[in-house]
Amino acid sequence: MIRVTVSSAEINFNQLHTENWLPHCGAVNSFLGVVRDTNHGKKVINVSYDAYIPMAEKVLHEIATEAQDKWVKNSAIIIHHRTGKLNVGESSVAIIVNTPHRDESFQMCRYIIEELKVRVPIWKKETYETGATEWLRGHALC
Amino acid sequence: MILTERKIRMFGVLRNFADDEGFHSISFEAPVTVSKFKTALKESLKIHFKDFDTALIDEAAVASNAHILNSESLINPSDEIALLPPVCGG
Repeated sequence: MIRVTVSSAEINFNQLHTENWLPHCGAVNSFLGVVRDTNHGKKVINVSYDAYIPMAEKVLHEIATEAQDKWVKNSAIIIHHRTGKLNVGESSVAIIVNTPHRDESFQMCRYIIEELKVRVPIWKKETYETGATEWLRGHALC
Repeated sequence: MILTERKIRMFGVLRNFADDEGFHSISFEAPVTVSKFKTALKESLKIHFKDFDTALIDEAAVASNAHILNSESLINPSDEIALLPPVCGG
């Protein structure tokens, strides 16, 4: 099972955990990305996420499928990435992986977040306490 | 070849050079290769934004209908086109 969402909807971590549970799986590994208050020494007030949603959801589904092919096909993966303006402390991304045993759940979760950061068409703009804004540099897709 | 005016979807830092809905309008002859399309787009953006840094287009991927195109791929008149700068989700 794979479910991917890229939207402005808030991440309900507890609900995602409940939805993800598979009876034959004894491990649930979760990653939550959260907006932090500093970046390169600058005080961050909020972060705005932009996404090419149809392609972002397609690529995230491809990454999740790759993780299942590499480790456990009969597993469950839920990925939810936010768009829009998020304040410090808000969750920007949640990844939940449910597998029979713990080792593959850690590896799959790590694989998904690392691939997400370099392959998925999502961008972020930070707003600092000075009022200045900056689109962060990232990884080229071409 | 058909002269077509298209609204190009701009994301990330390229939204600074788009309208409020995230589009930049450009006329070009189609079909055209991605490489030639990028050249036309740079010229158009330089006209509208005198200080525009064309390196932003060099490092951006061109996507059509949610698929990334290579530099020799052809863009057809009916394709939805998006410019994707380097990504940084998470």
